[in-house]
Amino acid sequence: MFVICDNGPYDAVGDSASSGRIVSLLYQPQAMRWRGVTVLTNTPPRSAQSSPGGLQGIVIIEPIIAKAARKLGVDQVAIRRVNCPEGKAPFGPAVQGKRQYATSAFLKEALDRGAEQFKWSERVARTPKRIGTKVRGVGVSLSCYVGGTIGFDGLLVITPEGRVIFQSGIGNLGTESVIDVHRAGAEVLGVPWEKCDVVWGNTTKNLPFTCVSGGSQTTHAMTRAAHAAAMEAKKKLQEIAAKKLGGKPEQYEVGNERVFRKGGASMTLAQAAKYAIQLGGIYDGHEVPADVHKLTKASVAALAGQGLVAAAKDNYPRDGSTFSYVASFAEVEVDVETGKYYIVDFLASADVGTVIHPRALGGQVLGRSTLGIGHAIGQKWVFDPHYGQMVSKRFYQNKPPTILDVPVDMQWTALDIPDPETPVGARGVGEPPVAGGCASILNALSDALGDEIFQRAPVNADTILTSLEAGRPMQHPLMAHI
Amino acid sequence: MAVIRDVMAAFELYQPSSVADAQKLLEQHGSDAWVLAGGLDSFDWLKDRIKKPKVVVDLSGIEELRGVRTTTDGIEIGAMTTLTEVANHPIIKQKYDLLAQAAELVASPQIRNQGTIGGNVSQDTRCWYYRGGWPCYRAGGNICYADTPEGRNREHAILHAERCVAVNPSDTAPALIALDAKFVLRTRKGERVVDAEDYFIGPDIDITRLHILQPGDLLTAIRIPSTWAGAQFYFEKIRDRNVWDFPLMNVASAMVTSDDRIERIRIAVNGAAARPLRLKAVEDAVRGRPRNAATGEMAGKLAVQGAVPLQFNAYKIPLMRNLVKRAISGVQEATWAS
Repeated sequence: MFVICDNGPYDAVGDSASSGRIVSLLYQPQAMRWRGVTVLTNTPPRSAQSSPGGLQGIVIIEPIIAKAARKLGVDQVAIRRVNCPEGKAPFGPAVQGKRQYATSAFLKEALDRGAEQFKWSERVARTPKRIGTKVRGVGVSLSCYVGGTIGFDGLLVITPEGRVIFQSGIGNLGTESVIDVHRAGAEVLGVPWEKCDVVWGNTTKNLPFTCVSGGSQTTHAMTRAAHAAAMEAKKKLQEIAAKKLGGKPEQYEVGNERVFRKGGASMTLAQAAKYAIQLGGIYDGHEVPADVHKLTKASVAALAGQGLVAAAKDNYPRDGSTFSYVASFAEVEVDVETGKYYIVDFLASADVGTVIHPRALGGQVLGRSTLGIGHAIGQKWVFDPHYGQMVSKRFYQNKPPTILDVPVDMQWTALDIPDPETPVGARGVGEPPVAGGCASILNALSDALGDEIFQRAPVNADTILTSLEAGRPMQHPLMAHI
Repeated sequence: MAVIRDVMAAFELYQPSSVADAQKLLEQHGSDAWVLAGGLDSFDWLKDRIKKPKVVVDLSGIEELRGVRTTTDGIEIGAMTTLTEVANHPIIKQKYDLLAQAAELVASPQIRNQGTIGGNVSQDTRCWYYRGGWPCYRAGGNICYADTPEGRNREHAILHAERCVAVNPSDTAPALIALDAKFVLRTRKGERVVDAEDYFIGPDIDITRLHILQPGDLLTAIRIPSTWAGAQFYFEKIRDRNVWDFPLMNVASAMVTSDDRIERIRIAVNGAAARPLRLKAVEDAVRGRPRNAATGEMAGKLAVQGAVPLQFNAYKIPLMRNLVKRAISGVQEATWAS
């Protein structure tokens, strides 16, 4: 793989290295050579977009796999099933004889689930492929990207009124993770979600050290942190109960908004919070664990005395690097007289660990798939190469996809198999679907039109029509945006 | 960092409530005045600070410019009638559906609610060099940036280019030409009525305008005669996105057949040249012929004669050929059992 990163006038971005890493993970090549070169050009400045490197790498490799399958007479799903990662799949170059590996991968299961729900075999077998000027084609693509980081802090307060207040430092992108990740904490404490509050918004609200809302890490990183804070709270509740009611802390359980000894004494969380304030010290936030971040320490100090205050760093072990995976399926209908095509159906089948919030997850899986579809169907960035000046400045010129460019009933599904290397089992989902959205469309177009019509993205009416007319690709593959 | 440009330069705003007042203002301010209809074309220019008129005359308060009226021979559409109204009007849908189809394919629902029929036919070209403020021929300079060895000209002209290679972006214009519409203008000399195809001009006549309006002139209405009412219509627009996009190319035809022979026909395309093109040679060639694939193919080939592609728009030649073919012989519906 030889990657040239046209980076505009400023410093290099990480796309080229990332593309090699992701391709080595997603297709598990037994041998792979990768080289990356960044060139500076007299063109407008740019920076990374969703799934940087992963998108480009996968979108380069997918059409090659599709073409290979056609030449070999192998089913497109079958060839990907043979090559896709499984379990603690290795990736990247060996460093001192050791390669990195993923925490887990259940992409084969995602492919199988997706192929079944998309009725892949029926669509492949359907005849005729062409009616009049319209041709149909189906495509499948693998997709993955990073899915989580570790080491951030969780912070919660149990109030004397018996409510649990989660302090959430997550920047709200509208994906609901700012709220959702704390359900992991509520579950640990056995507190109904209606009895929980989430405080969020800005640092004046005494929030803990939190990951940035980017890099598809939040669900993974912050469910771990919420889990850690809740476990810390649980430990304190057990200690308070033992101090007040006798016995050893480990004899107490937490649930149903109470701390209780089986068949014996108990107290409510509200009572425990009052005792925490009486006890002070580590129980109400006047003392703070040494390993939490200084930002968290400041927030704990501000909250001290308001109830049982529990702060904890995510110190859970993790063996491997966290990625999420998607198998994407698409069907297109192309009019060979105009080059215009429509996406008839789309399905994304996700391996993202435990599902935290199905609707929010579905929004992410299809939303990011749509971002990838935009790269296939025409989203572009055009500058005049002689003057190095942008010409596509407005949305009607750079053409992000609209809601009418994707099928009305796009479908998604998720395996809901927990990742074994994180206590809640949930991984991140933002970027992993992007490349699959793009490449499944490109592969479906090749299925309809043949491998010799385009070798590029985006593919527009002009790409198709001018090449059909000539019988060979007519738009240069590296001149992506015209 | 980025320069914030979405701030308009100051201008004097006039909001007349009658055509007479509007005309008076336009005469008074001459070439300093900018006519504002729905604003979809205007505000890009003004916010980008590429056009800086001293005076803006906003037509939105003039009731007499709005609405669809029936006349003794057809209908009259006020220039400020929105594209949504045009697309949904029962008489237009019943008798002149070609125009309703074209109007419905313009941009997006929000833009059709705001954009007007008069604005749609009078809008400026969307050549991205010209719209970006590059000092090209059309902007009064002495170069066409799109027609250079490296120029980005995927959406530009294949026919009748003359120094400038920009195209007219209107979807309703070819439909109005096919329907033999008449454009009603108010000029200093009084009312003037012109055929739809004569409203539009190419760079050979004036490189700075797409239409015949002079400073002080106003397009007040569009009349559609009953000549083509209820004829067989075909409209197709090819665009990159399924909504909110200008045409790469569009085609409109109105046809009357008898015994499946083409008795009368009018056909126009847009997106091929700086003005929507009425294809008279095609009309003459197919008149009297059977309406079938052979006639369609012959017409398509004839339509693109003389077309000259630029570096990135050669696809427009087969596209125009096929659209003209389809506008005459139709296209087969394709339905798959899912």
